[in-house]
Amino acid sequence: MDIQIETHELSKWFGEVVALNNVSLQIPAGVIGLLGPNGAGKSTFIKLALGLYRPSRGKIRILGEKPRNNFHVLQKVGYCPEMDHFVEEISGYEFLYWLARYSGYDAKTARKQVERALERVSMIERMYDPITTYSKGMRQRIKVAQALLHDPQILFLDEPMNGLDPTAREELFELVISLGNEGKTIVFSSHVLHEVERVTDTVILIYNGRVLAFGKIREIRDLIKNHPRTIVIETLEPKKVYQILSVDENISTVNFDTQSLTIHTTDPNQTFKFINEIFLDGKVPIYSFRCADEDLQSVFQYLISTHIPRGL
Amino acid sequence: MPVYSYTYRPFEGKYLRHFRWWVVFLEEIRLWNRSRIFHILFLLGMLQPLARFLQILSYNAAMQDPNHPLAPLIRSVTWLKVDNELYYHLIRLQAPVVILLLLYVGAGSVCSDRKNRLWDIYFSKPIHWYDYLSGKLLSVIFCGFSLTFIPSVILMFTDYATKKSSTWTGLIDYLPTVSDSFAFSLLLIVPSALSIVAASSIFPTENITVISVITILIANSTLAGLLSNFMRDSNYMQISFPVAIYYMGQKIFNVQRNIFFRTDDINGFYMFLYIFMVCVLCLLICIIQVRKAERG
Amino acid sequence: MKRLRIKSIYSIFFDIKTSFLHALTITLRRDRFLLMAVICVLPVIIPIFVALFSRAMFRESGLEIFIRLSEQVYIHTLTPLLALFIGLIGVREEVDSLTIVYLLTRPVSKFSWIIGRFIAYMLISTLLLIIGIFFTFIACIVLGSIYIDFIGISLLLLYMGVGIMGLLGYGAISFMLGSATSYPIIIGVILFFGWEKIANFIPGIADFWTIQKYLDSLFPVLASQRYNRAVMTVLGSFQKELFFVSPQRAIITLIVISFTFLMLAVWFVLWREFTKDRVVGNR
Repeated sequence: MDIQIETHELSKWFGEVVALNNVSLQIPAGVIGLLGPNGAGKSTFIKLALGLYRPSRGKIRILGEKPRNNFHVLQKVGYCPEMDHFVEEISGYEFLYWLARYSGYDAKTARKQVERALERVSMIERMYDPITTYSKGMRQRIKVAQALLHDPQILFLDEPMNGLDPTAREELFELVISLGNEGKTIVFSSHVLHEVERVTDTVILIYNGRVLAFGKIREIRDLIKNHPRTIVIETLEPKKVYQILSVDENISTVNFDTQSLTIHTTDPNQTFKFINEIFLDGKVPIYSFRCADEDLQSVFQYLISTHIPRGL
Repeated sequence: MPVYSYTYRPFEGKYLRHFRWWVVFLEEIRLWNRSRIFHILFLLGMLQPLARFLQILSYNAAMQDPNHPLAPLIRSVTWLKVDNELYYHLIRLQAPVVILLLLYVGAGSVCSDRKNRLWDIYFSKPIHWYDYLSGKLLSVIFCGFSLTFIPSVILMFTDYATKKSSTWTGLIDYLPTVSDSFAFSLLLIVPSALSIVAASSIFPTENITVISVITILIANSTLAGLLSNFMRDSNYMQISFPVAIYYMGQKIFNVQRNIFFRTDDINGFYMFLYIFMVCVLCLLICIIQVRKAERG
Repeated sequence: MKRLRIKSIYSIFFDIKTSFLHALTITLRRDRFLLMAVICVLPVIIPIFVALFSRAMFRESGLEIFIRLSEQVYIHTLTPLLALFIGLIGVREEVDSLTIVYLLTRPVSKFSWIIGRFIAYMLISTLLLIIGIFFTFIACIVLGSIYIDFIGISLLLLYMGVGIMGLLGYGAISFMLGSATSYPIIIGVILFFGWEKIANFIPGIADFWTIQKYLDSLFPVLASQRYNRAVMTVLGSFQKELFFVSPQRAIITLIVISFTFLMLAVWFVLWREFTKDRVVGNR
């Protein structure tokens, strides 16, 4: 496995505020979702990876090298910051042009790279207008474009979907997926779960400066042994189905509806086995059954709830 | 799908109909109060009032006790005398540190809100441009008063309290000095505050605001100094804005010694008009910029 | 094998050039550049005013006015102001506008970035200063009814040179303040217009810790004595004993000061974390 970002007991604090606490990770190539609520430490992690911050403790390596003040690393990384600040009076084109020059391109190549990057984010038409006249979505696209300027190997996108309308979101999703398919490593930070699910199935869950989990969504799911799963069974006779299922000791709670019943189980494999038997038996018709909390939201909610002390 | 009649609790408090600027005023004070540099500058500004406090204590002690060992010395040093002129010099000598403090608190007052995109938040509330501007200006003016007028009043009270022969009616004797101090403080602080806030509404950052105000101030004073020097006529110092303010202070306190100009034929009215016009110009700039912000 | 983290000479020059051109194009469009340009040519009105309105019997000659304007206005006042004003392009402007993050995440060496910006600052402020001094000289010559001779030209060149040395010294300190502190202007004003003036009155060698001391040493002979004013106190008046510095030593000292402060500016950029998240409303 080709490790792109490696951290060992990485911590960062600002005065008495611990922004990141003892994070040890090995992040491979591919699209990675950095997921957590606001203030979880996502931006701090990205800034440490870019060398904008010095670690308070531990170490971080990008492509095997220390990132801080290291232009070898900076040549290979792109960064779309979360904050929304520009040199307002100049055009988007000029803003990108100078950043391309700082990336080491001569004037001619810089112009080419700028046009290419602006084309990728569909900003060609308005590229000569002053940034101050841009909408929030356009400003967001300019930020993404500047991250793509020098064709980086690793791309850090800090909340890139902020302020984008549905069409622009869709375009950016497509862009991230296509960049991922090109073999780039993309760290996609967001606090909106379905945004991350849209581009990747590999996530790092961060909360209160700690990494709660890292891996495939399903793998994370399997790690949570004691997390009761929710299964929805669609049937015309929910009470009868429950009578048969009541022998399963793993079922903790049941909710009835007119044409379905929702059960919570601590051992889904065992419960699925029972449901299969009822289905094959055919005495009580079952039209479908599905796991209702396979999505990231429920995993995230569960992991957070286990890490928040009671009473908070 | 259920339709709820409302999703927010209705507002049960009272809307502020007047004095909405008070919110902006308090917010500004809260912001500076967190800054260590503000505290350092403020303490620096309190050094002179502290020295004046000791001066008043020692002078009154010496004057009321003929057997005091330091009495002859204190009586012989004219600048230790506690009179009306003391408060003029107190405010005049406070000017540099007051300007620095006002620059610190006022330079970011408007431009920081623009930079941090807080105008949208302010003007989405029932706050008008005049509430916003009044809050900002009054907070800066209050800051200036806390180093000029307020210490003056405290010192006057100290002087009154340390005089053995003081009676309650004796307090009335201080009223002219209180009003003089107030007028001179007003004359020093209001134009400074207005010019700083006006610069803050034009320039993009605190640092550029500070350097612009300082550049104009230094250029104005240097030009006046050189002209009076080359023309061999100290009355050209009228062009200098700080000197104009000091001179008006002299007039207010009726200080006889003319330290700035060659002759006494300087017309105080024109000097006042000069200060007034600068204030009006700065106020206009502030109003235009903030109204523009309110309109989006 | 671990790669060396040193850029090639070519790429260092390339970065310096990029940083220089970027700073130049941005600064020339700023409103405050115009403000500073106006202030730099403002002293020209003084010789015009003196020529037209002075009724003094023994008024100064054109050359005398030029010398005093050059020393008191351009070198003692405008040079530090230009350093603070234009010196903001170093680091502080990018930090204040929160755009520094875009630059810090580019593969450009911080050394080249600072040096490029310093060269841009030197070019812009030198142009402003030289144009101001030149026009003042012309105004003094024309209105003072004197001939342009070797002494006049050499004085013009001398003051231009001293002005450039002043911009170098004050500029390097401004760059350092911009990268090390959040309020470089307030600290710069206290240093350049507070400390530098006070140090002239402190007995001993306190004035050796000022830029003005070395600039005054480059003025024509005994010019320093002009600025050694007597101080009136309640205990009587006293005049400070001056220790002279030779022009050669002054130039070397100014170059060493400039280099040291520029390197400090680079070090602060390497060491500081400029992108700490701001809380809304926090100044």
